[in-house]
Amino acid sequence: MPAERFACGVGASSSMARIQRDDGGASPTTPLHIAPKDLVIAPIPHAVASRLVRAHHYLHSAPTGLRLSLGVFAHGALRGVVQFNAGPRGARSLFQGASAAEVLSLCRLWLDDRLPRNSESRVLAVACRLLARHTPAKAIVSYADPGAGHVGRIYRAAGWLYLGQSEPQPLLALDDGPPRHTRSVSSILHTHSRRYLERHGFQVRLVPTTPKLLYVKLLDPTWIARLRRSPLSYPREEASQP
Amino acid sequence: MTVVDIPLDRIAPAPWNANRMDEPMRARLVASIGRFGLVQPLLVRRVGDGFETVAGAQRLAALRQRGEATAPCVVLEELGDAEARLLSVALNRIGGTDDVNALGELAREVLAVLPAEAVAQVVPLRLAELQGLAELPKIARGEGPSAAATLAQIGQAWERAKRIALERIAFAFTAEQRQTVEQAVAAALRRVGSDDPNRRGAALALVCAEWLAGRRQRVHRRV
Repeated sequence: MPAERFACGVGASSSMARIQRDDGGASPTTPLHIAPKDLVIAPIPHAVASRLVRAHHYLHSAPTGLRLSLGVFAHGALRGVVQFNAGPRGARSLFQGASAAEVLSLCRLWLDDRLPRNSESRVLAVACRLLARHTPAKAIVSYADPGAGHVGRIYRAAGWLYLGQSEPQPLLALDDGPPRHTRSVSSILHTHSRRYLERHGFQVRLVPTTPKLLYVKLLDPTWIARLRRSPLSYPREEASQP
Repeated sequence: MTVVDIPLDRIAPAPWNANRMDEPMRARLVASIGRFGLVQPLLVRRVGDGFETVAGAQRLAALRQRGEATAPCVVLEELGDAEARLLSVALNRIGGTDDVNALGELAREVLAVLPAEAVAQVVPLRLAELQGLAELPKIARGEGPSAAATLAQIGQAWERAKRIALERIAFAFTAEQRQTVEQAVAAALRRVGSDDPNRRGAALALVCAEWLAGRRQRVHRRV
């Protein structure tokens, strides 16, 4: 395959341990016997990537505004996906004078549990290299959600910059409906103004969320000069977090 | 197991059936029956003088929609209420999941001989998803353009989009306000060239320009 390849850091092929999927997958499964040269990353159609994301990613929802979907192949079979979109408005404004083509947001990453443990970091590294070499992208941002038990270990392992916490945005629950992101309320009602909604008879409940941890990967190292925030040292992990 | 043809007017859908099907899926079922016939008999039990579906209420509705007179059925002679409900839920809910790679291979083989639109009428996949799945085996085998070439193409598309992008402004209207705006835009549309890719935006800009010009005239007259 003419796509770029990467080497896994551990000898997964020698391991015979059986693993149980986090989502309670019925039976312990045997890790894939993967030689380092077997993992291949290549662009795939969004529809296929989103299908896998809806089925396996913990959010079970496909992101909107997709720019790029990459497939992770092992032994010629699709075993994972990485998706990038334009991200929230704030993502681009982290950099001075950045265009929409230059800053991408890493919005979904899912890999088959049977892939070796450090596959995420490796996949990210290759994806970043592909983007840097072949596209106008200069930086990638990603948000780790501590509320879902994610502190961004894979970004730390890959040496991404930590820019602090994002502004936590409360979710809105209208009447007895489920809490929704303001963006999804806006996409339905074209506003998420609490005053407007209450004036028109909705009972609006604000559901607080935890701030996300913001990580950035510079594909072009000179873009450090454009950063509007100073990188910080990685936050300490709580003992209970996975 | 014996399959017998039963007139549709003697079969009733079970009122307790919990399985629901939306219109697009029903349309696929009707198309599938049209293409292949009813290849899976209905499962029914005797109730009074007639029959009640245990599995196949949706197929029964599709057959009626197609104007069929009879349906091939397997009749379960002695099935109590609780057992019928249990079997119905079990048949509707016990199922597997798709292996995306196997599904991709299958899509490739089917689309090699059948038009995509015809396939999309029968299977519950969007056309883009179906075509994307059919591409998957080729990508997995490393055939076709390289990842670098595909990415370069994608990157060029981002750049092109940046150059020709129209700026979007979002407004929010009440239904009444929207009607007013729509009326004004519709009136102005007649004066916008048909080759303008953004006709509604251009029409709205025309309305605003005329309003501003009128306002200037009114101010001028007052002075």
